[in-house]
Amino acid sequence: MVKIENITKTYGTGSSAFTALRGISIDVEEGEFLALTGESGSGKSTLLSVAGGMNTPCSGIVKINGRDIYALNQEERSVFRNMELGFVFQSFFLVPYLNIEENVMVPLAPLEISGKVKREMTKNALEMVGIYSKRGNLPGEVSGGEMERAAIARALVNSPSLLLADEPTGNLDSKTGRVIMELFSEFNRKGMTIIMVTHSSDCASAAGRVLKMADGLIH
Amino acid sequence: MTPLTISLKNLIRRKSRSFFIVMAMVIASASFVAVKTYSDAMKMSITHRMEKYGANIIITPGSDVLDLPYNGLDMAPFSIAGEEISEKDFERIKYIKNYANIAAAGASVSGITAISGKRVVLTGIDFSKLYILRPWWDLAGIEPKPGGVIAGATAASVLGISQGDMIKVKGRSLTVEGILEKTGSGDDNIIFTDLKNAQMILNKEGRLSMIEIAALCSGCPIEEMVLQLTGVFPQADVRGIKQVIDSRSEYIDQVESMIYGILSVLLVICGLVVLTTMMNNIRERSGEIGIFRAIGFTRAHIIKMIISEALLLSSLAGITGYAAGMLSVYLWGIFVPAGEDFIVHFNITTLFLAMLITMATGISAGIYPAIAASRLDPVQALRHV
Repeated sequence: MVKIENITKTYGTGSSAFTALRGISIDVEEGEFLALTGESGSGKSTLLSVAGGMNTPCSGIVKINGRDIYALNQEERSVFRNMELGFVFQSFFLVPYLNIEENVMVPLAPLEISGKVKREMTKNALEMVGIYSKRGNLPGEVSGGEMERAAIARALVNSPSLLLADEPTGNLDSKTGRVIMELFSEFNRKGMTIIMVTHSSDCASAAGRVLKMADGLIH
Repeated sequence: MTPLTISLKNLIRRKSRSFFIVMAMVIASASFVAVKTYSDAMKMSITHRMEKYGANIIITPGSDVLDLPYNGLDMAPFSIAGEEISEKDFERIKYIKNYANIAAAGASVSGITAISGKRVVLTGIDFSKLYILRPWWDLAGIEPKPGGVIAGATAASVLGISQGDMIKVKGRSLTVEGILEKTGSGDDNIIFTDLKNAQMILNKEGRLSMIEIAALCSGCPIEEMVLQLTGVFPQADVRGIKQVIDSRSEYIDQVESMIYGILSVLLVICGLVVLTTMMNNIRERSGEIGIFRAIGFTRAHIIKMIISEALLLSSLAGITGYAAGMLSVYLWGIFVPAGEDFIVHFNITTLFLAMLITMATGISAGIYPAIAASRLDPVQALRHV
């Protein structure tokens, strides 16, 4: 499903250069729930962005469903992300002037499909995370947990084959965090492949496999 | 939901910023519309005034026998005693390209004859064209009839004739239909009768001394028409009344130079304001654009979104600017009256140009921010949120 081979990533040049990833290789099977843990600066978020086709590595290969995503040009990679991947960010990153339904619909905006189909897909995603009743509210009018659910619904709306989550419970209280993790486990039980970055050992326990990172390496 | 919907919602959310961008373009657009509409109205006003001057193109036989001024204007020499134009050639006027611009064309014949033992100039004209070719004549109480004469004020005084008198010209009795008020022109010295009558009296049947043409000046290329008429009357002198043409052209040139000068400065300022405001907008929205890029919007989508925003704002500015410009000219016309001929018209071309200018400015000023936005690295953009 996901094959990461010997990835290196260095930011900056010369004396200010910082190596975030030092030759990492990981295989993630279809339907697997993988948690990446580690201290801040260990390179886990960088690895997630590289795996998501957003951060070109200095060397190495990332294959998703057999496709070398960095062999695609930038525009093709954008379309690939849109069609194949779902992202959940730590800070929700909901667009403040769009209501919950519109925020969830954003990944469908560039697609040439009818508004009716888009609304139907959005409804399914909102129902999946249990916030359909909040669809007309702006992000500022709902709780942190509901914002996170909206962010998850946005990641799921186009039925991606791989869900990438960066600290999905980082801004939530522990109770809400557990609810979100239950959602992730449920998606995984239904067959979704998930790679999640987390600080929390509680969250990591929901995953089928946990890899710990330090200094740009898997330990 | 499409990228355009997102653009629209962003503009609505950032109302004050959108308002300032629109206002910058409205000022440019309204200025353009005001100056152009005012200038068009002034040109039309001048055109109407010029048309009141009557004939503005004169065709005379190609001769150098006698120099005469025409109504005090700087005219070419024309002939009384020389060769005449054949009456059948008069029809050639219809063959010129700008025939539609001719309001009236009148033939005349002139010659010296004796009335009551005094030598006077007798001119035969087409009375039916008088109101267009000689609008300055005061014909109150005078109904020119074929076979009758109208006497210039000085000629009547010298001959001692008044309205209703009968005069004998080469054995023909003619009724004096009226005496013209003084015009201050050569017409004061002339006895006028209808063309056929004059041709018979002067033994010039089928010949003409002059053709006067009143061209409609609205969009009328007088110099071009003079060239066209010269083509169909190669043996004649075709002259435009220089003062009319020159004064009109000079005025139009000045107004147009002013339009383009003001416009170019305003457009540059407006473009810079829009560019700066949009760049600030992009900086503020870098996180949002980072999200769009991360979840699969291509660079082309981002460019389209930003350009769509610029287009929406500039279209709104174009329409608002047109309305504001027209209103300002209308109000200007009320508070600073420019005469009864000054009429402000709705002009689709001006509206189209105003839209084109604002949209071109909006797009030009939006391209750089759009490209800058599309180049945002999603990872960097999200990191700075």
